[in-house]
Amino acid sequence: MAELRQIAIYGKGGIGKSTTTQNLTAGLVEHGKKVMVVGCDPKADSTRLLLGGLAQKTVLDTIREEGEDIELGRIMKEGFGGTKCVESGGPEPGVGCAGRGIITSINMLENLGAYTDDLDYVFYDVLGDVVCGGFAMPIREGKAKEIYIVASGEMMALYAANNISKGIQRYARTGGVRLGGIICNSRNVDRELDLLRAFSKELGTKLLYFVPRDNVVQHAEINKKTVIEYKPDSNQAQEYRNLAQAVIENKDFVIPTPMTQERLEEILLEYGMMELSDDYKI
Amino acid sequence: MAEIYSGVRESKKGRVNDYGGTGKKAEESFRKGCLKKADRSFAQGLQCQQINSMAALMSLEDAVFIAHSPQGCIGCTSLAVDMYRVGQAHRGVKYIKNPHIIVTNLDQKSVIFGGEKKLRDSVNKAIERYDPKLIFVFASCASGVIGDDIDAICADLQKDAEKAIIVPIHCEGFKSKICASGFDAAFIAIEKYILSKEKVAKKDNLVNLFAPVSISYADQKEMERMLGLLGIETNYIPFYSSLEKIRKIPSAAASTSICKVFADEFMKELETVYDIPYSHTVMPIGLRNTDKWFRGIAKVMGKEKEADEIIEKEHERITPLVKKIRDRLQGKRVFICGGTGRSFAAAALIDDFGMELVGLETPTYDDDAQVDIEYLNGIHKDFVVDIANMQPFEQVNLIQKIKPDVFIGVPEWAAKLGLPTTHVLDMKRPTMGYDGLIFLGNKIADQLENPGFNKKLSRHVKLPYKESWYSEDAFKYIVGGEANV
Repeated sequence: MAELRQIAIYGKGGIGKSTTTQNLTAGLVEHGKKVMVVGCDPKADSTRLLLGGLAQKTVLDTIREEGEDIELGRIMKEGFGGTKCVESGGPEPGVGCAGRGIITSINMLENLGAYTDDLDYVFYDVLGDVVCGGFAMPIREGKAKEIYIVASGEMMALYAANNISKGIQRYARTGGVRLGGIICNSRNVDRELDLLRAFSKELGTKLLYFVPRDNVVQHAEINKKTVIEYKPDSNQAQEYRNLAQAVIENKDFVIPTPMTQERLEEILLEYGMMELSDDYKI
Repeated sequence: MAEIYSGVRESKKGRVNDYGGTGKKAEESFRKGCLKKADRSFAQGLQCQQINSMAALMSLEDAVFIAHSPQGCIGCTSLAVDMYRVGQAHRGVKYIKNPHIIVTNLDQKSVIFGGEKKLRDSVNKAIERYDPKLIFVFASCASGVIGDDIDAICADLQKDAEKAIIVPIHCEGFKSKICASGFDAAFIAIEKYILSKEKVAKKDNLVNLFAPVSISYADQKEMERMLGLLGIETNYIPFYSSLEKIRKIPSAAASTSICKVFADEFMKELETVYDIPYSHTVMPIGLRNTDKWFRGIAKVMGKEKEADEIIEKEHERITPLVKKIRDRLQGKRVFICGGTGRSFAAAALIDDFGMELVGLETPTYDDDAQVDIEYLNGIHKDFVVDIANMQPFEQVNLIQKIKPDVFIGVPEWAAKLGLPTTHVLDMKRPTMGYDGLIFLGNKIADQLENPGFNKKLSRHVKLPYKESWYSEDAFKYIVGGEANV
């Protein structure tokens, strides 16, 4: 049996981490892989498409209501194609410490034996802004060794990706964590592919896959399904299958080389704008 | 808007907590503005702000002290509990009480989900069990990091509390390395929640005398006796006081403190808000300092002439006794270690006994310290200065090199090296004022003449440091802050 691959997905808030992770998971499942998805966002919306709704009771809610002596079955639900789905959850907005919550729930998963031998992949879908040590938990202590950053051609998405790379660099020095590449979740901005390739190169990594923008993703989300489940014959479903294939085959894992703000802006200027045909003049 | 003091002493310009050098160098560097903030790359454990806020208030009558913290954070209240019990015994209290301390016991779950419910329950329990006049809620590192809104909870509970005043105190332990910040946090809360800027009728001869936990009852009586000679009535706070005494604060004609770093910021605030002038001089240890302290408050009260007469009389009474002690102590080399107020005051005291200062360890260097150092440099040869909140590893290194005849201050480590030692911070025996001086002097002399206990102790106790440490530079772990002089 192949070694378990633990993968953390980071990226700016709202970039499409959860959507990408779940569609990617569905693609892997079609390849016959056993996958566990651990949602590390207090909003607990990382497994909605796999489970067909927010049916999940979070680890932290369970701990809060039932104490620490709980059964694994109470917090882990089976979703699309036999995926195992867990939501860490968190406190109410504005109170307590969500970061500590992530640490506690991942420890809890380990203690309860959630990491079974039959698993091929574990995905950690992490809150967009790694605001404190707790949200770095999935890449600490030798958990996830592989990281993918979801980005688009928008300035703030690249800024966030560069910032996250700084965190990866820090943990890479002491642990085994490596960056596996950038996944572009396209926003249809100017020269997005060129820009993302140049950005990835500057980071010392590669653009793993370019996921085009397609409204079917939105339709699938409204129907609480992954695209692969909702419209298996669509182009977009094939794109996610290709992404899964790219992840399976990926062997390039690096310590990223984050850039300065000035360099990031240079790249944006160089690649991020097309010649405007309708130059506005008074 | 005017600047609001945060209660964190590091926020004041020119205050240094990490320095190693000599009296002359420190004075010169500070004068040139070259004494820079530094840090220690290795440091031993310190007190935190929370424990100092608690200790400052824990002897108040009819009060409950709620630490909104994990249970370990109240571990070091045991010292203050001991002080409170001994203090009661000295004051003739027949049935000695413990202070009412409740810890909210923030655990893993509380940290994740917020500890606000536990705090509410604790306040309600405090009212139900003790029906107190005062409830103090102390923030901790844990509650501070997760951002529990203790102010809002206290305000909410206050609406239904008929008798108790609920006072939240922001003394998160990590905010400051300077102990005195904990005192400041307590006073800021007292002003905000108990005094509430209300103006009251003044009482002409009433003086607020601020005293920290470390003042013995004998010292309190001596201070009150001295002020009594000036016809002053003393409002002794907050140690062994009460809500009623705190409420009397704004009615005083003046304020002073026994310790230089206790209530000094609060006294400034009292002057601004309640028009109460204050005297901020030195701790009254030794003849010179006692005179200075006494004249300071007398001046504010317009009684300088009377004070001079009293001082003259006191000197007549005390000087022959001091001379006797001087005969026993003349020429002895001393190393001093204590709190900011006490160590400088004690350093001046040894001049009374004709002793020679060879080393001084004190937690903070600032404008106030500069005044003291200038004076000490004037009466002593150059001496070693270690600006350290204790840091025993530096202290024992220095002591081994300097080899003083006697150690005055916090004696745990020096005693284990076999040196004669005397405490100036034992909190139980007289140290201050004219009478305290005689007691302290005799104590020092007795120790010097009977060093057997410490000598034997040193034969049986080994300090945890390697032999090689004693030949290293004591200040090797102080990084940054080098003065370019």
